[in-house]
Amino acid sequence: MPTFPPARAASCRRKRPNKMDATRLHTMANQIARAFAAEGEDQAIAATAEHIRLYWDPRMTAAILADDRKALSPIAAAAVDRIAG
Amino acid sequence: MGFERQADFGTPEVTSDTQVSLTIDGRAVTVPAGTSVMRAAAEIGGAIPKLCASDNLAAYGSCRLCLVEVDGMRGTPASCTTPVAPGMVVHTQTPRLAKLRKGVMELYISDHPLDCLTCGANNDCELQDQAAAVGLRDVRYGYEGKNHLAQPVDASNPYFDFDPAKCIVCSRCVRACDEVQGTLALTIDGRGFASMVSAGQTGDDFLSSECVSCGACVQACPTATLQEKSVKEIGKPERAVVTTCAYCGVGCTFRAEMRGEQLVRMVPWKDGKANHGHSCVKGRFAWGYANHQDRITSPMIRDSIDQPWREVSWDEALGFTAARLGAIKAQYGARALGGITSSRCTNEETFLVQKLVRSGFGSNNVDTCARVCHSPTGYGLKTAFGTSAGTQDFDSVMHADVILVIGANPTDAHPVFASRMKRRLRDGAKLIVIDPRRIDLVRSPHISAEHHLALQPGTNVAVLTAMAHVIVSEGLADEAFIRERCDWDEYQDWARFVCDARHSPEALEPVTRVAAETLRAAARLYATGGNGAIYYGLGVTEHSQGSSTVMAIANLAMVTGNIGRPGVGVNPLRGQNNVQGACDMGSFPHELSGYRHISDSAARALFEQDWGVALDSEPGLRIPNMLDAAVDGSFRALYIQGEDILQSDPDTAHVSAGLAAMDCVIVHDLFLNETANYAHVFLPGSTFLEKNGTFTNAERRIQLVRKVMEPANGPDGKGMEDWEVTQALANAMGLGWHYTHPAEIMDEIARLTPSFAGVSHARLEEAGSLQWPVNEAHPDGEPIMHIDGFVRGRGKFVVTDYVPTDEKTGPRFPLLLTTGRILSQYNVGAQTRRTPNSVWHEADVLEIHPTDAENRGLKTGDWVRLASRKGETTLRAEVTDRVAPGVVYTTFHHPETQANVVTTEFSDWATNCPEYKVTAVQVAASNGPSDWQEDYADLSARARRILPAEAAE
Ligand code: SF4
Ligand code: SF4
Ligand code: SF4
Ligand code: FES
Repeated sequence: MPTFPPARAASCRRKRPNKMDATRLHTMANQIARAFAAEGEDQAIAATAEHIRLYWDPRMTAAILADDRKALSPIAAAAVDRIAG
Repeated sequence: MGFERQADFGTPEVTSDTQVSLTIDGRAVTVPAGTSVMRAAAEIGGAIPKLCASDNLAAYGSCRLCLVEVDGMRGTPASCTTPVAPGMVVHTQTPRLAKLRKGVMELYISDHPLDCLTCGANNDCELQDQAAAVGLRDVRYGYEGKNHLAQPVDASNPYFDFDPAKCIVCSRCVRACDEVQGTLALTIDGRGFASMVSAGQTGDDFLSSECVSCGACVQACPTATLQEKSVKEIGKPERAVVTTCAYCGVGCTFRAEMRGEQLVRMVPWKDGKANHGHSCVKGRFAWGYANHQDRITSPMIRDSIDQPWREVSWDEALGFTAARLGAIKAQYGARALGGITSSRCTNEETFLVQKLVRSGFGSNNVDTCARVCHSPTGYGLKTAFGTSAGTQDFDSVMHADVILVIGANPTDAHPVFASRMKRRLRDGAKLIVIDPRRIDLVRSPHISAEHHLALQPGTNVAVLTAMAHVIVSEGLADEAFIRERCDWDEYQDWARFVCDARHSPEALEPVTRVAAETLRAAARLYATGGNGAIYYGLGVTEHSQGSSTVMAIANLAMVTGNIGRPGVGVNPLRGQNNVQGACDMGSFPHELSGYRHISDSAARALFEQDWGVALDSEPGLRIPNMLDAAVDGSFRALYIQGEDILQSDPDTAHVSAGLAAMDCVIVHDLFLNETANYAHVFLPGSTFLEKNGTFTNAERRIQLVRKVMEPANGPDGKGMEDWEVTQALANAMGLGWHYTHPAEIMDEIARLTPSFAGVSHARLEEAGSLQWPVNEAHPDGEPIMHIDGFVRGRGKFVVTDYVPTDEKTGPRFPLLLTTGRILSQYNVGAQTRRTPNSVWHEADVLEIHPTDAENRGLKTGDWVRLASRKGETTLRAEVTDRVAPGVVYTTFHHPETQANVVTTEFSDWATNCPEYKVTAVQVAASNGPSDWQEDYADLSARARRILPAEAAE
């Protein structure tokens, strides 16, 4: 019986797709922070933290908490710190 | 219901504050002023003979069959064109009238073939009925004179024939195409005896003409001249069942006209409140997929996706699935399991899938295809107004003075609603279109948009903020409305923000590429032109700022006071038939039905009590996050009902990698779709014709779906409706469900969802349809929301700052690709590609501007390579100035094209709705399919192998 590697379609001629690695989560958090930025820093930090609490699966929140804040914008970083408590 | 045509009152219903009383054939009748004598007679059960009149068309007065006598009036006026007058005394049946009518009828019949016994319309023909009604016995003129009997039949349309020999030139078809559909494809050529109906220009047939195959003319034709091919093939229907279209969010209702278990035709239902008797080519004709040979009717399983499929019994398939799910749950925990509900399925089915995930799998990892289309609408409108839904009913458009269409293409994607909108535009409403592409609506017969803002894709927020800038800075804001209804402080913050000079149309012109003057004029028109109504679609939501754009739209409506009455509002045009319903039913990972957050312990307690299990209080994964988590190894099993995420979701490589990494992918569908290439279990589904339940359309209207035939997915009547399949899976997992009818599921939904508290199948039977909320405060539902105040209390102005997308053009990818859809195909095309609709759209093409084409040496019909940093595909080019220079456009209806191979992982900041509408690409000449396409075709063929069932012992 002919076999083929299941992920072949994915691997052909392109770079590896995104994992639930930190990069994707950083992008998401920065995007959220940017959307709230116009409301002023304090408000934006609170709104970003709240947004993550309301819409992120726990494993995503855990992953971003565990990571360092280097790739995060100041608002996003402050929001993540606030979630960490 | 037996088979009879729906009653035809001859002329349209009139509304008036004044009532008029008169006497017809000795009987008193009172009707609104302006009603025709013909309609007044019909309302008391009279039947004045008629041929050229129909109650969905303006009276025409050409056939002279409907003559009546009126005391004190000379002659014999036509009753269809004569309005009632107080005290009128009308006689509809007198010897004089009988003689006149016979004469008229004789003329018609002398030029009509007398092959009634073998005609497809025999017994269902108005000409026959009227001949009988006038008592025609003989034709004095004989049949030998000059006639039209030798005309050839035009059979070019795949669904209906045009047989001019039978035409009586009543022009009902022409008027239906003009007035009801608004396409103006038909004309009467010639004069007098030589006059004939013709489609398009000389030499055109129906297929090559402008005709969009909506069926309105077929419906209008009183003879067999225009008739469905299926009636000729199968015969006259014998019963009719009213049900709801399963294609788009307009939610047209149809009479499914049946002969035994066979569907003969779908006829739009005149009492349908969404469509008022109109239809489009999909709902009316494209239902042949239901019996297509590709349909899989047996459950199938396989251990791994490199094996061929094995057909098995339902018991074996369900046992296999339950065991796998159980093992995964035991090893990796409940959060490794999830499900995707379908916007194609009924509310009841969707509710059960999310119930299975939350209460059976034990996680909140449930999402729906609305994620990739209207999730930003839910977020944005809930934030601004307090409800995740459009504010109006469709009829509201008839009261609009200025219609603003942004990122939507109603004539292709919501055709029946577009016909209504076009009718209103022909009657004088003004139109503003904001779209990178010149959609058909911009210029169509008798319609011309006041302003077309052909913006650069991805700059919606900038354009809307600039419009707000003009409105506020030029003093056009409706401050009285804002003070009364909205939060004044928030408004002031917002007003300060938009008034900043950097948001002026002039400052933003380089970004949006919309001329500042045009933008100013459009803003002024919307703010001052009377009732302003905004209609928007996926061109708004499918962006990295989708949710911001929805809120920017809400801001515009509030700042101009265009909320809370007929003719105004914010109206999302929903893609799929039940997107609204799927969202309402708790298909999102963070919320229960009725949009209550999963962390809300009171709401959760309600469900926990009813279901007898504890629920996870943390939000679950969204579709893109599920795929990420799958690659990561923490998400391992997915039950997908009626959706093809591999074809419909962006960044195909990412989707396939996620699917390939899972241990148990269950596809529950009609066909082996693209996603099924990665599935371990295939559960055959049922079509909308085979099930009971409800759909909720884009105007929050809940309508019944009624079963007209047995599900084909099981032998000898053992087929299952989709909710039964979900229930069987739940029971294989030991959940002990015992619903016997979807009505019981709806009762559970009503019990647990405040906005549905008053909904039940019995109520829907009685009312025809209901627009939620239906509860104590709104016992009969609510066509228009936020009438006396916003659901959230005060309307919220949200500052929406324009943030350019990360997807940028550059030297390698200098063009912007945007995507859309066309009329005859539906979404991923799984259904419509399996019908003759393909004659209108055989393949996806790439629209490219002449300048860009010339630079690349391309012409229409050439194979081109379309590449982004994500991947590449090939398709044929179409050179057109519909798109601006620098922008290319394609549809995504065909799996061979796989347009989503090139779309990116970027998504809306608030909801992760993917950014389908903006991808930086390069286009170049090519010789044929890309490596991806060839690899994929190869994989697809292997993954679809099916071993025959083992012989039963
Ligand atoms: S099918 Fe519709 S579009 Fe075509 S000719 Fe008839 S009414 Fe016009
Ligand atoms: S095709 Fe039918 S509707 Fe049109 S003019 Fe002829 S008879 Fe009338
Ligand atoms: S407009 Fe939509 S709901 Fe109506 S018939 Fe067409 S596809 Fe069906
Ligand atoms: S029905 Fe009135 S003139 Fe034809």
